[in-house]
Amino acid sequence: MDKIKTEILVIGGGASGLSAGISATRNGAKVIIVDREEKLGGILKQCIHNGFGLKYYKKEMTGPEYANNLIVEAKSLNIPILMQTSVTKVTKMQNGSFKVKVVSPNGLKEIIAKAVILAMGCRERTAASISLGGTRPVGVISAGSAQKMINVYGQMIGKNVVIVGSGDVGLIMARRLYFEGANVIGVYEINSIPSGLNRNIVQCLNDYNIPLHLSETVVEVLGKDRVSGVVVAKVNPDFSFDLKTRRVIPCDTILLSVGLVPETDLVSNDIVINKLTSGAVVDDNYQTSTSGLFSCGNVLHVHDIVDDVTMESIDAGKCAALFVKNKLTEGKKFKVLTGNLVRYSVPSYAEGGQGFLNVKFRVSGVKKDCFITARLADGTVIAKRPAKIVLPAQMEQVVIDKSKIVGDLTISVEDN
Amino acid sequence: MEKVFDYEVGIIGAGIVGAFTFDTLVTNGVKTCLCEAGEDVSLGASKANSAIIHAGYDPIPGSNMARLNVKGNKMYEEVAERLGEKLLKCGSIVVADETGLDGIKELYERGLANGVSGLKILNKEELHALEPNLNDNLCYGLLAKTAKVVSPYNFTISLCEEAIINGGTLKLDYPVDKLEFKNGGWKVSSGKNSFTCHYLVNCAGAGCDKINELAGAEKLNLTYTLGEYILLDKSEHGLVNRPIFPMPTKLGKGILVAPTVAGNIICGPTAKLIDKYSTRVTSEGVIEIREKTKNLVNGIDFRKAIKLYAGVRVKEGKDFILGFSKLVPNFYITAGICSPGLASAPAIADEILQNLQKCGVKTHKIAIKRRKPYINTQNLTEEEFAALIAKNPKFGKLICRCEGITEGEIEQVLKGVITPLTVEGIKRRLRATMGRCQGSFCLPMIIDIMAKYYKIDPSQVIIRGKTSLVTSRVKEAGIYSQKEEEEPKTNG
Ligand SMILES: Cc1cc2nc3c(=O)[nH]c(=O)nc-3n(C[C@H](O)[C@H](O)[C@H](O)COP(=O)(O)OP(=O)(O)OC[C@H]3O[C@@H](n4cnc5c(N)ncnc54)[C@H](O)[C@@H]3O)c2cc1C
Ligand SMILES: Cc1cc2nc3c(=O)[nH]c(=O)nc-3n(C[C@H](O)[C@H](O)[C@H](O)COP(=O)(O)OP(=O)(O)OC[C@H]3O[C@@H](n4cnc5c(N)ncnc54)[C@H](O)[C@@H]3O)c2cc1C
Repeated sequence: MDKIKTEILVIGGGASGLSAGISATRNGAKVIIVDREEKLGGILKQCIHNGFGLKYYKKEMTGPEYANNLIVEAKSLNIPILMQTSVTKVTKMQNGSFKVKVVSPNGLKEIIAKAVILAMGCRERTAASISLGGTRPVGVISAGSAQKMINVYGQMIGKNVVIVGSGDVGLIMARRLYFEGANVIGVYEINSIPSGLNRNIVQCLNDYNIPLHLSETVVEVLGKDRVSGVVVAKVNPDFSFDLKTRRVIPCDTILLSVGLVPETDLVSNDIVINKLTSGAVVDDNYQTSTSGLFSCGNVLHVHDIVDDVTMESIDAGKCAALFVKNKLTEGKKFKVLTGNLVRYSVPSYAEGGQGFLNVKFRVSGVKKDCFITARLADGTVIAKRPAKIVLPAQMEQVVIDKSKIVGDLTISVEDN
Repeated sequence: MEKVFDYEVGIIGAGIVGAFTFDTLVTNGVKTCLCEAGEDVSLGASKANSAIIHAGYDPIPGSNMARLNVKGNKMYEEVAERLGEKLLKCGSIVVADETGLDGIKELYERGLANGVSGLKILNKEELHALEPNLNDNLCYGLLAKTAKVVSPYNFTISLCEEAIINGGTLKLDYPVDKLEFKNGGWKVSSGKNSFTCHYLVNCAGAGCDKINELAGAEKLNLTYTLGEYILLDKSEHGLVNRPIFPMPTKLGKGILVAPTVAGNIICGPTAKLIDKYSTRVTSEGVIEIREKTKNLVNGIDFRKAIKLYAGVRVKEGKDFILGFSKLVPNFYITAGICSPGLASAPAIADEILQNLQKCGVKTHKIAIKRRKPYINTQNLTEEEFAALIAKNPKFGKLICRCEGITEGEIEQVLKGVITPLTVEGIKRRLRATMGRCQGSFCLPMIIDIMAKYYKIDPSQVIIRGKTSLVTSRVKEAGIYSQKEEEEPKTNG
């Protein structure tokens, strides 16, 4: 079997893997990127709409354009890239290095790396994960698959479409299907607030008069061969269904946009997983519970916008480069805890010192005119910023001066 | 002069019973034709059940069920070996709380009466040592060492393939709609097509009443009991090591938690009498499964559910109905083959063979040509895998990431003995799209592979039945055509 040696192996060639690989290379490390698909870019390849890059490149692009920027940069740095190469196993060896097994049409290979960056992205939740019952006809498809069918394979997947869940991918697909001539009957969201970004509600639904039904969901799939309809019902505040409000809506296709889950399965038995994100527990260096194993992008936690993925992955790539040069300082780590209204935060551990720590988090409910704080255990505020509104749909960030981190800290949303 | 028929025996219905019968007859030198309404084999009860080869302690002593279950159980291992099918020799346990010892003893006695070996009553310690995740309230267990777990649809497919390799004929897409007894044999028609056979066996599962009616045989009164399931991700592997049953009731064996051959966990089935055959999963059913399994196993994580499904038990009275019709000649009925039908199927087939022999059907054991099991790259050593990719690089191209299925594996199945014409046919043979993402990554790729292989448009790639996912466009790209519509069209 072929053996390849490198300092850093990046698993995944999407926005995250490319950004991390570029950053690690710029920081002096020898890097290899592997991706199982035929082309680089990950999920961006199928996101042919625009709105990418405003934050990082200060320029509006489509998904493939955004990816292309990274691909051009990676190529200009001559980063070796192995395509159609799937990682099947990652093992930490006695000497601290990693043995990574890959399979490709060229055969099996073993890659030995001092550090590994996980950048495998995420997958979509399925009908079973929302306990969607009924029959099992053809025509129930996840929003991301529908996006791939239409944008990559050029195949249309339905005529009269109901969308379950108001995740961003579903909203984008509502508009896409409309463009392709489908009748998008409506988007049904179990929560009282949408789970996608407001800009997508406006630009993808409102602009095309596609109705959004909040606190209403699909409770049953109908149809024998092809989907023939759905049963929808209003949802009570305790999330039980108000069965009196049941009605049948005829349709031939059901798109599921009910959330994304990090694809950590490759390593989930070997590292500590955050139950709330399904991604790895990491410290402020994006290092997982296994030393030398780093994680960033959607495999760490689901991001709303790709610019944040790039910025996070640049940090992670740099840390991995420092690690392989034995220059990654690892002082005493303090816990980063979740306080009022904060559902999860990344990273879970951080140390004091120089520079800034960027904590990313999501809230569990809506709040207007509030403050985001980071406090030490004794109540000392070490970071505080006002927020007009916080929403579960939107990833929030708070920047903390590291010199102030002298103990465990808690991130909260507060009134004042 | 002896009358000439196309086949000596015709079988209607390619579920597990029809498949075992087909294989048994063919390998005993009987010219046999199996016909099936669906586009593939194993589309009825045999594709959605608990997949357990029961030990046989449950049926009433003296019943068909008791006799055939115990006998069938003993036959499975050899067949699995020959076909290259997976079989978990894990045993099973019926569990009971502190009030349930009498019930456990009763089952044990019934098992002995039925001739079941390998039964053992477990005390609390023994029980929890075998199954550490059981609910603490459970104090007694009946361990049945001979119980096994298989993949019922893979068994059905393999049996049919073996029969075909050895000279049997399979007719798919052949919904039988007319039966005539002529010249001492049966004419079996489906639309314009027909064949003749000397003897006919009804293995039509939920359709057995209709087949009896077409033949003019005994009237059957079928009842339907829905059984819903929740299937959990492979990440939950090891939650239980063998099927865990509650105490059986009049309604059935109860909602169980069991491993599958692929390493998933199933929870179910419910038992709800329905008036029409339908495999619809109800929200009440899902709730019932969640509630009831709590009493069996601790810490079942239903967030790891990857599929909800259901099967229908087709019953006629309390026992299997088996034997020649008393109203029409040369017509063998298998009806009401509910649980333990899977466990009993090889024994049912064996009895059919014996009964046909008694009628004078000539048989001789043939030297069975072995079926070549499909390559599963997951089961290969690294050397074998590398050699395979060197020969055909498509075996190195991963398509279904959750189950580790490559393009090479999909192509070999497309070239298989029974060519699957649907995505679901590929799924049942290989498990592609059956994993935790349920095909959200690989379905578009599989449709693409099939379109290229069959040289058809993706809109002609069938997912199941006659239905495709891809539809034609309603109109050309909307935004452009909308603009066009705004401009008034002048017609010349
Ligand atoms: C369907 C979808 C639509 C989205 N739409 C938008 C949008 O409109 N706007 C926006 O700003 N953000 C959007 N996002 C958010 C997302 O944050 C970014 O688009 C970003 O591209 C994610 O990058 P990533 O590299 O983390 O993951 P991905 O782009 O998913 O890349 C992961 C890569 O890793 C590869 N890989 C995984 N496992 C292995 C393995 N074992 N071996 C080898 N390779 C492997 C995969 O093939 C893939 O190429 C969307 C996300 C999804 C899932
Ligand atoms: C929820 C549930 C759980 C179960 N669990 C177990 C278990 O753990 N262990 C066990 O031993 N048993 C179990 N069983 C029972 C077992 O699944 C059945 O006994 C067995 O699958 C019946 O097989 P069959 O071949 O008789 O019927 P089927 O598999 O239903 O096959 C009948 C076939 O006949 C075809 N057909 C019908 N009409 C026509 C026609 N007119 N022309 C041509 N073809 C026709 C159908 O298309 C179908 O393919 C369970 C059943 C259910 C529903």
